[in-house]
Amino acid sequence: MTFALAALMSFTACNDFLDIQPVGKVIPQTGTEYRSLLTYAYSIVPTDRGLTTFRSDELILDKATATSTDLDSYLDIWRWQDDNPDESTTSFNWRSFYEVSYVANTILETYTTMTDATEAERSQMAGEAYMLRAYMHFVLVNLNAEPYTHCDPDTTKALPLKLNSDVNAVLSRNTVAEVYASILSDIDQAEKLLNVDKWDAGENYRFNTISAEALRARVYLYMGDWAKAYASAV
Amino acid sequence: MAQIISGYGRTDAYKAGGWNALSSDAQNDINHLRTINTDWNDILFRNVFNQEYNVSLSGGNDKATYYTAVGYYVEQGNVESVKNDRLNMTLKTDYRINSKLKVGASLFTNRRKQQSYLTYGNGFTNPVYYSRLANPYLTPFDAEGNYVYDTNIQHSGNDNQADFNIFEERRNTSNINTTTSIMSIFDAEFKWNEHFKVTSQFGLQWDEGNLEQYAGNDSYAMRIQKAETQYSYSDGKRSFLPDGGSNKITDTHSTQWTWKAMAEYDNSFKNIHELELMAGTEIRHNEDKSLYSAVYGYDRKSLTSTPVIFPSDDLGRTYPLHTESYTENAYVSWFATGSYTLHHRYTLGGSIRFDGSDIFGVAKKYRYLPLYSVSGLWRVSDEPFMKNVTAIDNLGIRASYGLQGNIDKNTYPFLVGTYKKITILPGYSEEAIYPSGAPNPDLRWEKTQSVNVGADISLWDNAITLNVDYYYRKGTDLIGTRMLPLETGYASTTINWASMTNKGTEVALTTRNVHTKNFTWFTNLNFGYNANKVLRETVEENATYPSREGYPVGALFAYKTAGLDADGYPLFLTKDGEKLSATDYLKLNSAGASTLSAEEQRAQYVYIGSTDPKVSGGFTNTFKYKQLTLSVNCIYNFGMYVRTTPSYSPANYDRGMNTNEDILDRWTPEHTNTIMPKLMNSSERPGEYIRYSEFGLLNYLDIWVKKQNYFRFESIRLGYDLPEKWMKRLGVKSASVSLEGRNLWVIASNYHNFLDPETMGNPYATPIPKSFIFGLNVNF
Repeated sequence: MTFALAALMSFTACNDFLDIQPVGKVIPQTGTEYRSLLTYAYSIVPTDRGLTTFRSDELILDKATATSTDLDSYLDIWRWQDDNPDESTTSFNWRSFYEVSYVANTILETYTTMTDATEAERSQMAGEAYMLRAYMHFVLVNLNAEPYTHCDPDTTKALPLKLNSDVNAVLSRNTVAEVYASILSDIDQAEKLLNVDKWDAGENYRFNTISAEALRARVYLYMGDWAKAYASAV
Repeated sequence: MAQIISGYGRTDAYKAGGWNALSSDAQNDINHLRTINTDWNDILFRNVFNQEYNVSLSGGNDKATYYTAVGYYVEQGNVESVKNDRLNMTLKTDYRINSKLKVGASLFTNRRKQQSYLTYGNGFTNPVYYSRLANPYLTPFDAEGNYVYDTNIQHSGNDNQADFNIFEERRNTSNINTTTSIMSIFDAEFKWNEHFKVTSQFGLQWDEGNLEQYAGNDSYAMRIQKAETQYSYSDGKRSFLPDGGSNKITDTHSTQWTWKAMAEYDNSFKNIHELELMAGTEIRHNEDKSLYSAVYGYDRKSLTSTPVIFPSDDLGRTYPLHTESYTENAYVSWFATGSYTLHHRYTLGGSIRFDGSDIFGVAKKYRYLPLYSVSGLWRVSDEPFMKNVTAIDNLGIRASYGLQGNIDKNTYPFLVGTYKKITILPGYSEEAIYPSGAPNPDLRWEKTQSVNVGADISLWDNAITLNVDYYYRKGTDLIGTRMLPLETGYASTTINWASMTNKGTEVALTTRNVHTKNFTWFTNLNFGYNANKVLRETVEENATYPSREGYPVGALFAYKTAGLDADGYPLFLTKDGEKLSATDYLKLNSAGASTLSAEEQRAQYVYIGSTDPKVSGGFTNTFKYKQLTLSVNCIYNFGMYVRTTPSYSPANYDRGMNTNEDILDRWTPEHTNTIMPKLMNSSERPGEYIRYSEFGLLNYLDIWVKKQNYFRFESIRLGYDLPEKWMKRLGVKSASVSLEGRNLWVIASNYHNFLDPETMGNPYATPIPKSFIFGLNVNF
């Protein structure tokens, strides 16, 4: 009996002996650690919106004055050559949008268990996560699906919604209407949770209480719902 | 040559009119080059003389015994300014406290210093590399003894402004690594009775290392550092590093303690049953710290340096002046073995072992890696029916089965991240946590099952001893890559699903060929045959190199070629026997990219062989005649393949550098009977040219995959025991002298273009040197 007890104690002592956290590696648990994770998500948001300006008449690509690397990267985007673009053309992102959503989903699934964080900090982070998820899906549906105003949104297929962090889930394409509905519902949820009005300089890339309305205004604009867009914008 | 011509301003004239259009001065200079023949091998390498001395004293009585040893070893490298020396000391004492308890204390210390030259950047300072690329018409020193700079060695980019002379580099750079270790062990043995004893050991070890890398102001290493750190200031472009040299020091400290305890019990009952049991535990903990510090504007004589003023935060982070690191690891093991023998003939054994370590981010139950095994042995020669077979001294048959678990340290069931400092809005740096990948909550053991069957035979009074083993191991649930839909946020994850088998035979044979009063001859042969196969493995969907599924772990794939076509370009052989050029075989477009799908590209390769040998082992013969002993020790490896680097580059040939003789055998319109491709240029077959020059197509042709079989005479040693009569007169108990030759020669399949069959994989590796060792051993 005492032998078993001794064995059990040595077992737990050994477990403590082996409990070493390597320098530099971390499993996020505290509020600060989750904020650092969220900062990573902000840093990898793709700049594809800017890339689309090459397709519009805002920019001119002049073979005579452009450098060869610029020509290689952007020529086929500028002249709408999508059938057989050059190998070196810059490509639009796809996976990175979903990677940002992955981090956002992770935070949404675990934010109630964050340690060392005030209630306000927790809900602010959750609000930002909802905003990030909404914004990522918004940019994706703009760049890769039919516009809301020029198709039948309820039957036109767009892209898959990724609303959880399960890597084994099998996804299928949702319709344009479903994607926009999910974006609006995410913004609603975010509005309830965001509580920071103004961030300090250097941190002001983060979402705050005004951003929810601002994003909603833009989403309604793209949906063609002018009244609601105006109402959100003012 | 081009530089001489442009130096005279005659480049255009040469292009138009050839040799005769040059001035006589230019012609004289070029002709002078023909007369210079620098033998770089001779200059850069040398034969060396190494020394090793060892002295040991031992003695004692019933109560205490002691052993003291001091050794010193100094080795010069085959290249100048490389030197290695080591001083070590050992002190051991054992005390018998009473009939049951014995304790001991020992101390092992050593200090090693390794001096070498600094390798920086493109590896020119590596003498094997440089001796192959430097031109024979370049002399390292001019008539006055000044350094002559090799301006041909660099290609393009940053380093074409940095002068390089290998002797200047050796003189003005250094790389010194000094390590000191102290290890102490305290052990105790408590013998309860003749059946039961307990032993314990406690060890403590400290290692300190100091690495100092110095580059002087007048060295290529420092010039290249300045070229890489150019910044556009308002008054022009210059390096933000101050004038002077650089000194980079890395200090490492490592501490380790280990505690082991073991209990052993063995007993026999009625002379029929024998039981042996052993149980033990081992606990180990180590800490490693390192500190790196760099200074610039360094002056070796006054040991002063100049502060660096970084133009921006980011540059400061790219060239850190101070970094620290700390790692801590802990290990706990338990193990127990037991064996039961019946009638001295039938043995059944089992063992169990748990090895735990501080693996981060795994569920607690996976911390301890288990290992179970069960084994049996039948000593056939002790059977009553074998009593009359006098030829067989020993015959035993054994078998065992084991199951072992392993966990991959880099796959986590939880989300694990690494800290990094990043800047989102300029001027504000923040801490971010980078996730290492999609977590795998289904992570479980990698399992390996092994089966081993063997036999041991001794015949004719141990004239022949033979051990044969056959083993079969299968690994399942091995960590492998699985592709994920991109909508998860990740392209792939690692899961337990790969598997492989590993099987082979091992034979050890010792024969006593001749045994007379004055002369004996023993032969020892070790032979191992191994075959392994990967059963399941995936590669990424867009991978263009095949996976090893169905092939050995060391599989090599290459394109099958069929000589050259009418224009001197390699021809590829399809599965139907058709011969196609690279453009048709890989369906290249004008940018040199293949328009085949990734899967089709993988299928264009053919399996050639494996980098692991099929058969390997050793062969030793020992001859003893009176006081002379001669032993010849050979090792062999057969059945391997190695992918060699092409001997010259048809698409990227740099005319300023020396190259291999194979280029003289290349295809030209006058010389078409060869397999060496022609020198290509970008205006002819542009897509194919890009494929060779940028995609490295040449490296994957089957003409560069060579068989690697060799039989090496590793050591031939002649020893002589000086006669005892003479030694007694000098007061010496015994003495012997020996002469040994190591790596004297090797018999191998074709290793044309390389110095040694073992270094065919890397043309710039230093081959194994031949050495002769003279030794003297005296005992008092």
